[in-house]
Amino acid sequence: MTRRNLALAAIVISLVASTAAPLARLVSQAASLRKLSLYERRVRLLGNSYQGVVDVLRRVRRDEPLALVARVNAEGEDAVAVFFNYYAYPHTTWTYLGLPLYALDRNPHRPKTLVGFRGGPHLTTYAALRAESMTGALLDVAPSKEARRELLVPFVVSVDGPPPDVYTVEAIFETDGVANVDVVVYPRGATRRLVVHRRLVVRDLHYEVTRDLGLGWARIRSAAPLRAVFALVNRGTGAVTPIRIVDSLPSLPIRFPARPNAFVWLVNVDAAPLVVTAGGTDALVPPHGIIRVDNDVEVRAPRPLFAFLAEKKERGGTEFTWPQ
Amino acid sequence: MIGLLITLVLFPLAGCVAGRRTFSESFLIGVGAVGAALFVGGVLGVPFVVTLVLLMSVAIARFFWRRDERAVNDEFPRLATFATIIPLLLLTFIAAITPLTDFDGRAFWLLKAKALAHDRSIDGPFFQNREVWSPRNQYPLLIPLDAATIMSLAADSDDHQVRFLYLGIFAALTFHIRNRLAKLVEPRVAAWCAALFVWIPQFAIGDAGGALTAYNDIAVAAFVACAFFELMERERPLMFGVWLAFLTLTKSEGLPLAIILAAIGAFWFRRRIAISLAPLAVAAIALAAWRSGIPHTDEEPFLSRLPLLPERLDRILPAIGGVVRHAMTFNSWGIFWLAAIVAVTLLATRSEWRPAAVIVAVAAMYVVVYAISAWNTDLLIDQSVDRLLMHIAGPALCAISACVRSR
Repeated sequence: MTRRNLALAAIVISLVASTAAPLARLVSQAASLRKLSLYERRVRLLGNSYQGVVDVLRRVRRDEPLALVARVNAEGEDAVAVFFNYYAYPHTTWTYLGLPLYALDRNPHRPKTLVGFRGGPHLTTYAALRAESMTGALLDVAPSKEARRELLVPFVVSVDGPPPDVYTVEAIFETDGVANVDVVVYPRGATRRLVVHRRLVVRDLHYEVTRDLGLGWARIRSAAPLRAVFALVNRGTGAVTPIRIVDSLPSLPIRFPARPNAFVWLVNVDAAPLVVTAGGTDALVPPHGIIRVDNDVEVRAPRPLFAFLAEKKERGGTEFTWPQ
Repeated sequence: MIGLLITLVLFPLAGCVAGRRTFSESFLIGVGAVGAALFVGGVLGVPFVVTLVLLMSVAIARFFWRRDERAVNDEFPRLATFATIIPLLLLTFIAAITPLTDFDGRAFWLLKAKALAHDRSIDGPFFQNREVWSPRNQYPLLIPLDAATIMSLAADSDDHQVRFLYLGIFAALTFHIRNRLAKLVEPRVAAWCAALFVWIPQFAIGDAGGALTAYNDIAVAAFVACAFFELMERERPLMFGVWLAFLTLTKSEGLPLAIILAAIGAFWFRRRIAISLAPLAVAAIALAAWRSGIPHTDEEPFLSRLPLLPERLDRILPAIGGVVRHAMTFNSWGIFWLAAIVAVTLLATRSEWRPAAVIVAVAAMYVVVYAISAWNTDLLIDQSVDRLLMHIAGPALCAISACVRSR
């Protein structure tokens, strides 16, 4: 064998040596997939990223456009969105890299059906994606020393303002042992039982109870004495404003200091409508309702209610003024 | 299996548009001709079906009218042929069963193929971003058009129909290399070079660009190799230009590659290079016209970053280091590139500069791209250089074969 032949043999051997084992593995894998359907083979190899596409497509009409909303900070989620397109084509989709882009899209044809990608493609809602996008709690104060079994939270909100404002109400619950805590968010009347094992931090109280965005107030009942603290949090700016816990309704009329830039919020805790004089007019507050009226220094009503002032501050903050 | 059948009949037959050739060369010509004809026709507004019928009519006519001009009667060593066929059969078994899982193939290339099969247009709603978000919207469409043709004929746009297109290009390139090297060097060496080529891990099993993926890099490698063989033989400047045209319409780097090859070709073809430039010009103009009518999405504008080169010269050496490091990675290339570098150098000392000219010029272009890219250079090299090395494997193999032939 000449030196040239030896050189050629060395090259061939080096290549066969580096290819043979992986090739054998691929052949073995193919053999193991042979008896499965094409769908099962893809699920075996691609997992949720494929199964989720098929599941989503089964649940929507063929002509229903989908908003694919991938989280920007979630590695690989944008790629899963691209592959969703690949397997779903020709189903019409609009791809958004980040929920804010969806929120800011004012196109009247923007799809109303959303697909999220955490844990694989799935049908979801804006509110759920918003909740998924939140990490950590911003409220960092100890709950009050005073323990209660029943309390009102006059302002519970889960809404987005102009970017970057993202408002939630965070809560910290503490008990000495385990307590079932029933939270009812009005005016929806949505109820959720939270189980508190000594301490529970809730990032978005409204969403946790209603599974939706919105605004209201909450009545909380606990099976065991409960220490709690609540705050309005702007997650976009980091602004945190404590919310007063209401044990009893203030006496009427309710008086406030003059704050020209503030709005008056009126909370009707009863199941009957209430006509309230505030903001220079008579306002009808629906049963278990909460409404906002123009600024005033005095609130009058035929029966007790709760009222407070809220004023927008710089950098997404809010200043509350509570009744004395 | 209908996808396999269509692939094995459509492209070799379409390749007869250039006259009867070997099966492997006809296949590669067919891949280029179908995609290029549909693309240029699409730019002119000709419906796909009309273009395809015209092309196939001419191809069938030429199949019957013009007899074999390049019959290969060489005797190849059986062991080498066996070593060549075995991996191809195993890859066929895998491709027939295992679903596609690669990134670029699904995210970019076959998504376009599905859209082309659905919209029957190269500038329809998909390419206007009205159906879905089309990443790398302005990538050339030759191979997606081939895939779309298979999907349309199979009446099924699932990717399992087109797996054999990519494997077919790899197999055709392997046998084309064997046939051409048999003429240029000698049949025994050609057979063993084809055998070693088919065992290169990056080509056979590479998960980014290999024969089991739907990347277009094997097609680029094939068209570069075909053009290079025309350059070595210096007989058919028109065919040289046709391969360059196919190259231009296959990937974004195809046009600069084609320009480099044309510039090198000008030294060997002399005045006849003008013949080569005609198809290249048609392809380049068609590509530019198409791109001007669609939105650009997310491809990095390398050309506009070229003026940055003087201030990025410090990136050149690390980029060269990165390219060499990957070329020497045993799991991807065995000792192929080590052998190729030795062979190219030996040939250069014997005044055979063509393999060296092509390899060095193309590698230099990629190094410059790495230097001016806005990406992290190391990351970009890690993600792309093995695929780019594939593009010049044909000339490298030619150099190796020339060095190991009997005196």
